[in-house]
Amino acid sequence: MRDRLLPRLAVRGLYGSRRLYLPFVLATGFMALVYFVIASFVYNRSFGQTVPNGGNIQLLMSVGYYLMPVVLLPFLVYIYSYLLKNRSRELALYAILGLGRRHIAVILLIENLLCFALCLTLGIGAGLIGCPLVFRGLLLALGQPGGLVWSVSAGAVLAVVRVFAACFAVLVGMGVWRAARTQPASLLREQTQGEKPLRGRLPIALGGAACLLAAYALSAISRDSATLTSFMIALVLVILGTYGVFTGVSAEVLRCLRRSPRFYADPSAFVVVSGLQYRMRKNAAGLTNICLFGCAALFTLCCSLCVLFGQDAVIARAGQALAEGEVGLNTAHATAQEIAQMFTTLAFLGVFFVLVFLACTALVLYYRQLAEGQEDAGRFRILRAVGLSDELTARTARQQLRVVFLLPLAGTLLHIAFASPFLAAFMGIISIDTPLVLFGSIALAMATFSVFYLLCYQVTVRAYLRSIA
Amino acid sequence: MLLTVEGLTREYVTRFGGRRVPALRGVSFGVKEGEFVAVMGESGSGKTTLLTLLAALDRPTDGRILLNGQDMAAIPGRALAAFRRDRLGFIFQDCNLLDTLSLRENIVFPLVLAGRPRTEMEARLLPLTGRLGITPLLEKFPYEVSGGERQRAAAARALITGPALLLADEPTGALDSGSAAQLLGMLDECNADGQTIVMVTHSLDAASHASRVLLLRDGLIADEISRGGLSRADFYPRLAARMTALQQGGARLA
Repeated sequence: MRDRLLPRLAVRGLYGSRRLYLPFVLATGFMALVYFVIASFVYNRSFGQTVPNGGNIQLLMSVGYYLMPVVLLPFLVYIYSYLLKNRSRELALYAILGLGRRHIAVILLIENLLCFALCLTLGIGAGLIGCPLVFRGLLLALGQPGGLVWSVSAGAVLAVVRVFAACFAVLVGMGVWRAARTQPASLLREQTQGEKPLRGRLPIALGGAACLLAAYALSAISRDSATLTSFMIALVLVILGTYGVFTGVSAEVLRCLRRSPRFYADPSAFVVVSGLQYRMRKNAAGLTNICLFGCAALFTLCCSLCVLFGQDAVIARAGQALAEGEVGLNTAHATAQEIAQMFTTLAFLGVFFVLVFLACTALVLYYRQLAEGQEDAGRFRILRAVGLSDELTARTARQQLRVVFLLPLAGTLLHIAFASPFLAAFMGIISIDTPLVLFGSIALAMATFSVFYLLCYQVTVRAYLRSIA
Repeated sequence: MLLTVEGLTREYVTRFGGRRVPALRGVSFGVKEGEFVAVMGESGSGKTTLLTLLAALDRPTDGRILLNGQDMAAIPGRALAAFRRDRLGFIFQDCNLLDTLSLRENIVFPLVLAGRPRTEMEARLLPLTGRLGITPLLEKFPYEVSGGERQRAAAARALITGPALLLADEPTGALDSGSAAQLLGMLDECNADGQTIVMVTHSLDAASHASRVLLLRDGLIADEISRGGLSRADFYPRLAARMTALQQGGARLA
């Protein structure tokens, strides 16, 4: 009986919360696809031999190949912990019905195996169709049309399987550990207590602001030498600062709003402000995450655009310099071409990472909206029973979402604006220093990102409104 | 008549197969101004459906509800929320207080929705909370006070608009006996002040506070008992006897 029951429970569980798992599986599938494409370049032997300078391009690609798992794992862990929290009631019920820890571990294992299989099917399946196209595209961009034909490399497939198997293994371990640690009864009990009012709002707000200012200052004084170190320090400061400002400042602002006489005069402000204050700390953490993923996406996008738009000038200059020197015209031409290829590859890789970060941002946004919706559903049911009209309910909900989800966007744009000296310093390393290219790229990247973010917001608002309806 | 219910019917259609399940099958009764009416019945007798319809939270399949001669079905959907807010007060079994608001904010919430000035809120709030004995708790949050105190705050919220009709759904269902007695005493006082109350309950003790009791069974009013001049202590056993008779009679029929 047991070996039939547990798989069935696992499948039922996944299907039952498909609204949670579908975006998760889609996103992991997409990441598997991106990873597969990058790995395909790294593992394609003929690429290095046929394409001139292919070895260097592969070397650059392998940077992405090693970097991506580092980005992937923390993100998956973050999302999965949210999924687990949503499933905890179900798992608690299993425990109460008499399933042992081992059985629950098996259920979680089967679930993750299924997700893993779906993710691989999606990623590698789409990769088999998409890879030849991407390959052709890159070759064209490199000025090498024709010549090389893409073929499936077992190494790339294995690499994807390896990395994602490791990630999902971590997730299973996380689930089992979490399930073993919690008491079923406490999981079943509804969590309705509000957060304690935050102590030391002012120090937190000021500390956060100080961190941000320090990070911005580090960026402003950054010079080519030691840029990477100060960038890393600024990164940590920005993470701390964003969290501090979102927590401390918002708590203080909400407290003031609640004290103002206008609070009682406007029903939707009454509902929104009290609702936000109720769980500001949790909100702040979620908003910080969205903001930081947004920053990663936007910064990478800025870099890619800079490389894309700035490469021509650099190549022309390099060619000229070489031609004026002792080397022959042919050598100069070849070297310039080499530089052009490196730039193209760099931009290409950058775009992939932008896509991954954007997918992360969208997914975090979606789950944040769902979480908000679930927590607010009960509140809005009461509000309607007490006499809040459907119209006002919808308006209040939208107002609340606007406040909450425009904050991370504003934060992201601000951070990137202040990070522009860093960007300039990084681009200076590869000789891109035209201000027009630099600031044009930043402006274009910001506009693109804002449009993408607002689109995601619109789509995810529906998830929220559905869960409070 | 303050409230007139005529031939009220509510059928639910099952999700699969489209079978029609009647929850109310033509219920008629009237409530005079200043009356305290209790509706009693087992689970599944249609009590909650009846209250949901009276609260205008749902529309009947057939029949009419008139409040002060105004047909609730004639109120357009947009104005329904305002109608509920201004004319009706609710006390729910699980209080339905918002954890995000302090008791003070919870209680004045209907007035905030109605856009009343702050001074009026305070003027209405304090006499009410003074009578209910929760004035010292106004700055606390619902999860910081006891169940009985929560329910008294919910009662204050229901009464603050001065509703024509107070609807109570199992108001003592989640309370210990002391808090229940206190809440019922409070309802008695309100009623003595002229407040019309319709309360749905399956507690004999709660129902014995009413001036008239309707016994609901399988979606129909099976019996009606008036308290007349009886004291509560005398009314209780009579009510119990009628309930028992009804149940045994029904069992014989079945």
